[in-house]
Parts: sequence; C-alpha cells; structure tokens
Amino acid sequence: MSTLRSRPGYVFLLTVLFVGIIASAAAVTLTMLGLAMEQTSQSIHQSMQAYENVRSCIERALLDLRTDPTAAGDYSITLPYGTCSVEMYGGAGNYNRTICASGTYKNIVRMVEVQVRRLYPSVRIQIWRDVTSFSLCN
Amino acid sequence: MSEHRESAEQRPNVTGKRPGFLLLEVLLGIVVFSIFLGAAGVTLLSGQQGTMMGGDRVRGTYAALRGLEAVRSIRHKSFSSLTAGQKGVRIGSDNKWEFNGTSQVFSGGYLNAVHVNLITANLARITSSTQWTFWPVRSGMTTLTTDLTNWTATGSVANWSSITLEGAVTPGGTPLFNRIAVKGNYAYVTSMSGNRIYVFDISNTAAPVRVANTLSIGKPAYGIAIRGDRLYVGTDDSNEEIMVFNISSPATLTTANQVATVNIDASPIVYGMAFRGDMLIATIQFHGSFPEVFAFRTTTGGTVTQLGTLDIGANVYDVAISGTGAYIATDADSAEFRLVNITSGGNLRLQGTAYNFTGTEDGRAVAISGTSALMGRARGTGISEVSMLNTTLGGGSPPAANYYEGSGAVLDIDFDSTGCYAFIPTQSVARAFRVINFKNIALPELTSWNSNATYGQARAVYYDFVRDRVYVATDTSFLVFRPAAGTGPCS
Repeated sequence: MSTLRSRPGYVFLLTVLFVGIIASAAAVTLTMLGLAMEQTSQSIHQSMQAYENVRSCIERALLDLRTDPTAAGDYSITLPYGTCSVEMYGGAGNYNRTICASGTYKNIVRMVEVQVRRLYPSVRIQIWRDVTSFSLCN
Repeated sequence: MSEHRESAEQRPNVTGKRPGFLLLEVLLGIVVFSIFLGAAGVTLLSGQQGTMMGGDRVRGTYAALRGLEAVRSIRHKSFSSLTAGQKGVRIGSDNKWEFNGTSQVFSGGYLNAVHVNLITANLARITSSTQWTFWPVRSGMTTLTTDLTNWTATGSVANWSSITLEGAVTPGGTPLFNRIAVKGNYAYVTSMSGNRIYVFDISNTAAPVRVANTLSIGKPAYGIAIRGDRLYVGTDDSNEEIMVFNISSPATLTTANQVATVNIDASPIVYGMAFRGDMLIATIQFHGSFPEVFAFRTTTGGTVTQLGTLDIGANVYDVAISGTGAYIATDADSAEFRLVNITSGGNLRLQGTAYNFTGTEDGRAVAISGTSALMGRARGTGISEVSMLNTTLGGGSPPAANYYEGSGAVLDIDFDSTGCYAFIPTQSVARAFRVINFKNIALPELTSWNSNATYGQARAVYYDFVRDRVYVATDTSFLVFRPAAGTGPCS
C-alpha cells in the first residue's frame, strides 16, 4: 500500500526543503559576491598604495639626480605603508637618464620606469610607464 | 468458508486520513522554512552589506587618490606652497587645485582631508584620508600616502656671454691639470705632476679651498669619472691603470680610501673615461696590436669587471657618450673622430664612417650636445682647433663652416645644460678660456678670458649645471667662473 499518498505533508516538507536549499544557495552566492567585492576593494586600495609607493621612490630619485647627477641609485626605502626600491640609475650626466622603481604594499607590486631627457635647467620626462618588467634598465 | 469481514473500525485507512498529522508536518515545514529563510536572509543581508561596503571603500579610495593628486598639482605650481598641517582641497577660481580649510566633502558624502608633513626642505609626506558614515554599520575610512619632492624646481642658465673669475686656488708648483669631475660640494682634478689628484671644496664658489692635501698617488693621473661614492682615476701606472677611491669623505681622502685597481696589460695611459649607467668606457694611449677602448662593468662598491675591448689602431684621448654611442677623439691622421657602438660592453664595434679632419693634428677632446659634437685638437698652424660635427650621420659630416680657431691646443670641451654655450679652454695665455655660441652654426665667440703668468694656459673645463658655474683648470690653478646675471643670447 503506498505510504506516499497517505502522507501529503511529506511532499510539502520536501518542497520546503528544496526551496530552502535553493534560497540558501542564492544567499550563499550573494554572500560570496559580497566577500568578493570586499576583497576587490581591498585589492584596489592596496594596488593604489603600491603605486603611490613607487611614485614616492621616483620622486626621491628625481630629487637625488637633481642634487647629485653622479648618484648611482640602487636603494630601498621603508614607507608608512609598504616599501619601494630603485634600481641603479641609467645614463650619466645631464641627459638621457633612466629610473626604474618598484613599490610594494602587502602582496601587490607595481613597477614604473622613467626616462628623463634632461635634468637641468628643468627636468624633462620623456617616458613614464607602468610595466611588469623593466626594459629601460639592465 | 466464512469471509472474514472486518468492521469499519478495524479496516485500515487506505485514503490517508490521518487527522492531526498533516498539521504537524506543516508546522515542521514552517519551522524548517523559517530557519532556512532566516539563515538565508541573514546571509543575504550580509552579502549585500559586503557589496555595499566594498563599493564604499572603492569610492573612498578614489576620493583619497583625488586628494593626493590635488596636492601633487599644487606642488607642481610651487613646492613652497606645501605648508605643514591638515588641509582640504578644492578647485579654485582659476580651475586649479588649491588648499581650502581643513577638509572637504566630495560628492556622495565622502569627507577627505590631506595631511602635509614636511620631512626636509625638499621632501614632504602627504597622507590623504577619506571617511564616510552612511549607516551605523556602514562607515569606514581609507588612507593613501605618498612622498613629494622638489624636483620640479626650475633652474636657469644665466648670461654666459659675460663672465667673471669668481674664485681661484693655486696649490703651488706646476701640476699641469688634466681633467675635472664634480660630486656634491667637491671638485676632483687630475694632474700630470704634483699630487696628481687634487680635491677642492666648492661649497663657496667665491672661495674654493683645497682639501685632502695629503692625497698623493705618485703617478701621473689623466682620466677621471665619478659614479655614486666612487672616484675612478686613469693613470699611466704599469700595474694600476685605473684606481678606484671611496669618496664618501672627500675632505679627508687619502690613498687608504682606495678600494680597487685595474691592471691593463701593456701599461697604457688611461686618458678618457665616461659612464653609461654602470658601464665605464675607458680609452687609452697605446696602440699597436692592443685595444684602445675598454668597457668595464662597475658596482656601487667600486668593483670593476672587464666586459670587452676594441682595437682601433690609434691613441684615443677622449670619449663622450650619447645614447649607445661613444664618440672618441683619436690621433689617427685620417680618422680623428670615430663612433663606437657600446650597446653591449662585450661587443664593442666601430660604427659609421670615421671623420678625417684637415691636417694631421691629433683629436684631443670631444663633447656631445644633442645631435652635434665639438671636437678639440692639438694646435696646428693651418687648422682650426675646434670643429663641429653632426653625430646623426654616425661618424661625422662635411666641415662646412663649422670651425673655430683655438689658437692653441684644445684639450677639453664642455657645454651648459641648454647645449647652447660651449666652454673651451685653450693652451694659450691670451683667450685661455672662451665661450662660444653652439646654437649658431658659425660658432661665434661670445666672450673670452685672458690668463696671465699666475694662472698659465688652460687645460681642462667642467660645467657644473647644479650651480651654473664653470671650472677651468690650468697649468697651475683651479679657477671658478660665473656668468653675468640675467638672460643671454641663448635664452
């Protein structure tokens, strides 16, 4: 004798369970989307800070070369949020100098290379680009 | 056989009528559904909140970035505009960023404030913070920090058509100075006799002072170059053709500060030295079956490693680097000016055609400005000792009218930072130091300076583009020249 037909509530219960599972899946998905958005926003902030770190190093490098054109470069700086480092300066004298720097914040690394057409009487920058590997510096 | 008939009460309920049991299941279903709904609702709200908070953070970060860019724009106008303290930023009536108040509310309700911390006179640390509060559970803050320096300061080149001898040092004897290099507040000068390396404090260009008086290397010194805290000196010593010194304490420099040496076979004289990044190009006076151009890799510590050589069959007195080319001045009678490709230090090679100047006087000096070069030569009765060349042709160009009469050997040349003024020391007492207009193809002389028995003939020159000063070294003295105030024909 079929017990299913004699237990209509069982169907309702199953329906509720299925609906609940679907709803839960949707909720979990939306939760994960929210988490992903949180992580994305964190990554955006970290990436921007890493980029500001590399700009900080380039600022210092330009001042360094303006102050002493014989400076060699090749140093690292600890910043309030992360670090930055500068490769050895390219070129010599007043013209055609190159600066390659990288900035780090948490696990994000940003790299920028700059070609300076001249230092004096005023700095003229010919190339400033965001890179994944340096091509202007050895 | 009797049929077993069950009473109605005994028959099982085949229609499923179980009073009270469905209600139980409905209640159970409602409870389960409520649990699911509650959990799902909470997670749903949590996810939504995360999404919204993430979006808030992104917008807040961009607001903080905008604050930094505003300060960067203000710095570009004038670094002195960056005064310490907390500030707000806004776009002023001139459509440029300016400081305003102590904070600024950007669209969307984001409150931004920038904090300027002056670390040194030329270095500022900028912290841009953005806060927001929309709901009690939806608030936050984000911060970005960057450093700004005063590299945007604009220098100027004054009027070099009128010069004044500002300062002079005569160490005694007749050193016969050869080459000059400058780092910071000190000028380093090589010489053929005397102490061979002289150090002058030029922090006050009106009163230069000789320091490191005890430094003496005991051999004639010629070429000179500086990279970082290392001074590279070319000599004619048979075992130490290149000497490397640590010049982090220039006022007390002695031979004890020597950190490395390079021994080049056949004991040549290292005349010319120039850097391209960390590659040192050295040129020597010794020819035959022996290279005259050397490429070395150097480190910040002063370690020198030979990369490659090039035999061109002539003495090479000077070298000037532009891009991947090393322009050399030689004593070859039909190739005084040549170009060496230095793209790879291990694969030095001649490039383009050599240039044959009138006469056979040696090429002694070369300097590059843009796509042109000036070459100085030994004195000749039938020649002009200074010649202008076009470097884009790979080796030289027809002379046309690009000659300048030196009236004496020209052993060194330098340019100002605009490439307009060319500074030429000559081995003559009359008009020992001259300034010519390099932008004018006729190379007109703008001014000159007569030496006298005290200072002797001029041998070396160096333009200090940080100070806008020219240093000239003669047979006996180290001289400082300054330009006249105002603008000149090159402005």
